[in-house]
Amino acid sequence: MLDLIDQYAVTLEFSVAYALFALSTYVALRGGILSLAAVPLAAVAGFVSLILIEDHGVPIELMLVIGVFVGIAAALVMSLPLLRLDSHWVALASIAFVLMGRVVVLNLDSVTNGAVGAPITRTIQPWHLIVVLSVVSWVMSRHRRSRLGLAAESVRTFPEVASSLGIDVISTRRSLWMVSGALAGLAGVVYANLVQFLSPDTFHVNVAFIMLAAVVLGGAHHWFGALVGALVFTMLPDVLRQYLDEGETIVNGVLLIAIMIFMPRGLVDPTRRVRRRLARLSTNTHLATDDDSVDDDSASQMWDLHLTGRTVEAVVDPLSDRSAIAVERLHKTFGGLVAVDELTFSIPERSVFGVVGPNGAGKSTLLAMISGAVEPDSGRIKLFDEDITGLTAVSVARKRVARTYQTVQLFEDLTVLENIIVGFDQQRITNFWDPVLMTRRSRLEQVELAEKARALMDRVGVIGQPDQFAVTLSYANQRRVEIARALATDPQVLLLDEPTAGMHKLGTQAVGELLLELRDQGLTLVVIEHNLELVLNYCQRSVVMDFGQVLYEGPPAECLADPDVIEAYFGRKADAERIESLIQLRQHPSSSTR
Amino acid sequence: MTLFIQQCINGVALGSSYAMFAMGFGLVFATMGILNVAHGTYATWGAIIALFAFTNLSLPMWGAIAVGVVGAGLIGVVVDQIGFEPLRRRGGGLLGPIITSIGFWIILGQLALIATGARIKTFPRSALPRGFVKTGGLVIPYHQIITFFTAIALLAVMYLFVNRTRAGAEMRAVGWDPKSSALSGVNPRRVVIVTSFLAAGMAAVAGILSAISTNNVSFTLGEGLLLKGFAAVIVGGFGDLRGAYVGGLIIGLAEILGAQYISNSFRDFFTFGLLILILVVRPQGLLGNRIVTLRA
Amino acid sequence: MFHQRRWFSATALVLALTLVASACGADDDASTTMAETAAATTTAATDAAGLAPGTYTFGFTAITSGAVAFAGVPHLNGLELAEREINASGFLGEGVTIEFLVEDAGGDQPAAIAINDTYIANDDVLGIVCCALSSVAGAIQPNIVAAGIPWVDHAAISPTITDPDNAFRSFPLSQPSTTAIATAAIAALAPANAVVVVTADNDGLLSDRDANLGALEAGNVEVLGVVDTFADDTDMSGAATQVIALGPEIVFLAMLGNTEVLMIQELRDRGYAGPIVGNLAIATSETFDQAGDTLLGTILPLAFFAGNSSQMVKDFSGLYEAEYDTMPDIFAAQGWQVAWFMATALKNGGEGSRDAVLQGIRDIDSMETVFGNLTWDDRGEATIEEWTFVQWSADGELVLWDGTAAGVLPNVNK
Repeated sequence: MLDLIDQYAVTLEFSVAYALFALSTYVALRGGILSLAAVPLAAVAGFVSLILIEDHGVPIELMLVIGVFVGIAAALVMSLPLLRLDSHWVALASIAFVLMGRVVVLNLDSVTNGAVGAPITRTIQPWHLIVVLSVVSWVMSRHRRSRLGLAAESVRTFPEVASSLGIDVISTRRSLWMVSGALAGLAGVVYANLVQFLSPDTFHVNVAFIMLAAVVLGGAHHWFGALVGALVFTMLPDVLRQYLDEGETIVNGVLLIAIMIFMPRGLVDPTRRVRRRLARLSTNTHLATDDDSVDDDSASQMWDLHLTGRTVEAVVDPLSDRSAIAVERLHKTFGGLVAVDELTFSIPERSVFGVVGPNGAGKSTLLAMISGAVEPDSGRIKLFDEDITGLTAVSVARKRVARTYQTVQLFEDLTVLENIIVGFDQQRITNFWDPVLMTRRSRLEQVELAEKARALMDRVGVIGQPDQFAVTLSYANQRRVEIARALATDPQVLLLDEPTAGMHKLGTQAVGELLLELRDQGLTLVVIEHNLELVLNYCQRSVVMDFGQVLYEGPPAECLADPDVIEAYFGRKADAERIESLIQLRQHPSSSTR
Repeated sequence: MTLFIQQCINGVALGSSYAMFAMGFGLVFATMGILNVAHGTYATWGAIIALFAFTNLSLPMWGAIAVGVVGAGLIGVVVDQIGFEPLRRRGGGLLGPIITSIGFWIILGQLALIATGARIKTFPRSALPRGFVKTGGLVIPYHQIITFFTAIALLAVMYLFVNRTRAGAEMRAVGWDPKSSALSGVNPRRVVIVTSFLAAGMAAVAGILSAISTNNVSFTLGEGLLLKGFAAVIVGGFGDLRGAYVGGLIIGLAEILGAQYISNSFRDFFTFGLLILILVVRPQGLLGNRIVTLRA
Repeated sequence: MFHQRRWFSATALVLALTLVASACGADDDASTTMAETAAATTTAATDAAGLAPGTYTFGFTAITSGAVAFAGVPHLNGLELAEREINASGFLGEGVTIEFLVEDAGGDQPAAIAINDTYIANDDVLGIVCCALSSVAGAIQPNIVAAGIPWVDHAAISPTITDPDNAFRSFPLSQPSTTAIATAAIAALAPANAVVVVTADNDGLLSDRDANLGALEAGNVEVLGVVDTFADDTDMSGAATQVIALGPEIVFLAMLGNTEVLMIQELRDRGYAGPIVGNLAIATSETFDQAGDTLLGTILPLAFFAGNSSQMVKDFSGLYEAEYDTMPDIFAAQGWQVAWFMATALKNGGEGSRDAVLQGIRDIDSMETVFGNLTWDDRGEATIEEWTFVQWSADGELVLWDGTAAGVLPNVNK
């Protein structure tokens, strides 16, 4: 055994360096940043270590610390043009940095010795490597589901959702760049010291690609996967060399392709068993709902309601006159299509407000504009008399406006509890070091958030285990989790996009009751719905939209009795009038207090 | 002044080579969202196959070139079907195809090394265009003229294909949304195969012309094109073939003029610095129209 | 069912590629000629007792993958050819054979370190042969120095490689030849000004550039400019235009491989008619295939060329061409030479220990090689008494340059 270690000693040492490279890449990937920048960042640190160690005799322990700061600084600089860019662009830009870096190294003779290269005296010992790896692993594990870890997960999976929960995507990415830079700086110092000779090709662009492949192969969803991947990529060529005369390079290539086909999430995947079970049960990641699908054909509902003579309960007035959200001449076109056309209406505070209309009426676009995800072409949006037109989603979210989505957007790698806890982000007080140092307030916060999340689960009526992966819940329950997550942000206004889709009658009623409860606690609820019964029974006011315009604004019963509205659902004016007369014959409005 | 024009001609000719490569690369990127690191190897293999067809199969030059282009196109299709198709079926992210393409880059690169025996292979000199046009103090080798016009022709043909034919419309539809286009009766798989073939074929044209211009077929031929191709697509903007073309020309001009008038030694620094600059100032590229930034 | 199909296609893919890989691995042909070749002689006192029968092992780090494979593959070819010849000819004695362990590092520093550490740890390995790249040499140097194992560099050109006591070079560095031919060219052609073109990301060529500049300064020739190019460049049109725009009377090229061939073609095509001084980059068998008659008017210094009339070179070229179907180039010669060098050292040392081999190397004062007659100094550097200056003829042969202006084909004058 000792023999084996001896034989592979050098490789094992280098695998620590590669592990750091891989972790640096991994951290960036966690935030959805496809960065190949680990290499140029490491190069900066490596050459700085060359100067400091060779010319100034800096001890390696200090050099490692300096390397961290050099890496962070270089990462901040490099991230400036890259923070807002799409993933692929970051990858290409980081390749550009590698190539530019090579030119700099070549030409900065006095420092780097140019093409000739420079020897560097090795001062690093195996115990340094063990310590570095241990510390880094500790930090990684402590941050896996920390505030930063959860924020990163949200930013990577659904950046828009993250914004709507008040998480600043850019700032989160910047933090991840810094951590990635710190790791790359360490990698550079370690690698330079192990290789003992720096030439312009020491930090080669190929290494960046290999490290990316290593992370994905090892498992891009867990930091330990990055370690495994680095180890495999370092050891495998060595092992193959023993047994193959040639063609070991090709084997590496085949391995990559095979892994991506058969094990795309890599070797280390905490969710593997769950996914296998899910895949067997259905063809998509959502389990079939255990609630019956509801026939949400609004038109037939309309018909149903009017012609069967069902008693429609009128709803009372909202609890306040003040407007929570006022929309003035809001206008948005996409390409040639007018989505929202000079829309004007007002949502009273502390009410349940319904937004109805046929598909394509512009309801979701309206919601997107209110929440800041989409910028209107013209018009104003006011939140409690404050003009919020054009504010970004993060800013709107921080004014305590929360939302849910038409198709559920839960973070698939997180459990139910973790999904909800993401919503608490803006109220947290811990910083980067709290989880690492396991401070008291970090531990307290963990417990407190878990309790609050569970309470929200109960409140909203989520049926499922807190530690389940959120996407394993039934569709209806996933919707409830999403509502809980939105509520976690402690909003004053909650926008819901078809919250009862996929639910049957009892579930729908439960949602309706919840909305009224929330209203009683002071929230303003804005609900896009196709389920007209829900709107009739639980909304105080509503607006009917069609072709981006307001057809009718007022109490739901009035809305649905309006001929224009009926025409929008049924088409012909003559029919509409006939139906109206039928309604007049049959309807017995009654009032009740609610 | 003559010097400036001469270097502009050199830059445009070099840029035409980059442009042809970038058009193929950009096509795959734009329609299928795949950043294909192995694209350079298509250029290499196109040249290798063309040389093989010329020397071993005794085909005339045009025939050899055609065989090279078709051969590389087929390699592109094979790579896509073996490597990318399973990922598409599963519905993947951005990362999967890149990793797979790295795998193919390794394999195809190593196979090229084996095929050429790590040596530089050459065409017989008699088979190549060796003349040049001399006018007004300028020297323009025939191969530069050929490269320039081939690039323009390729742009024109591909542009018409993508924007004016039904097949091209299908390609754009699939790129926009594979599922909806399938609902409209488009066969996404066929479209993907055609796109892969054309993209690899274009890379092969770039590679073969480069091989002919320099009389050099080596296993690293495509690598230089790859990095400049990346740069061209960013600078010119992907999503539009004209963008890739313009981007290629700009990169070529930046390289040559930068070396002449600014600094030889920092040449690559400026070329790739230009890339970063564009990313900062106009991330979608000069002619680009897709949204590539976050609305934060 | 879906999964089954994927497994099948994957297995097929892996199988196919493994077959290809292994097919390419099996290149030991049986066609080794058993002919006696002129063995290297040494003027050191040889111990008459000789080596005990058996196999003596050395560790070689190859570079048969990656961008430098164009040099690494011929290195390995030459080495393995020599290995077979040494053993077949009985140079080391009855029943004594030499063996080179071969591992490919692909130019990767960590891989090379690992490979050489394995060699060092292997008690059977008596000496290290490496490297093609100076960066790799720099990386393996510390451990080799610490172990005290004899190390012979067969191709890398960084001057610091031979600094340690146990490091030697088996071939002559080209820098002295650069100075020599530059001086000779300046003397014969008497140019008023010159331009130097260099591959700026290669350390050896940077030092060649310095050698050229030194000779130019000594000869009072005005340097109009130094043009930088890079090893990966594929287009020389811009750089050639730059050179011509400077209007030099003579051009010196300190470039790598294919870029130099391209540069010469571009210079001639664009109308530069003056003399060009090149280097060994344009001495390969493909050079004339690529560039043809544009090579006329270019002179270069050569330690080795296959057309040399020396019997040793003729035999080597014959064997090489029979085995590998192509004429040997300088890289093949480097591989061939280092194998004979190690064998000579082993024979000198007389016993299978690292110290004996080390001493055996030190005992080599001079050696007749395919490069000509080489002598070694105290530092372990090989020097050649006389460099051959050659040029390409119109028929694609390397012929001598007689050192005169008139002798530069096709009689290029000022």
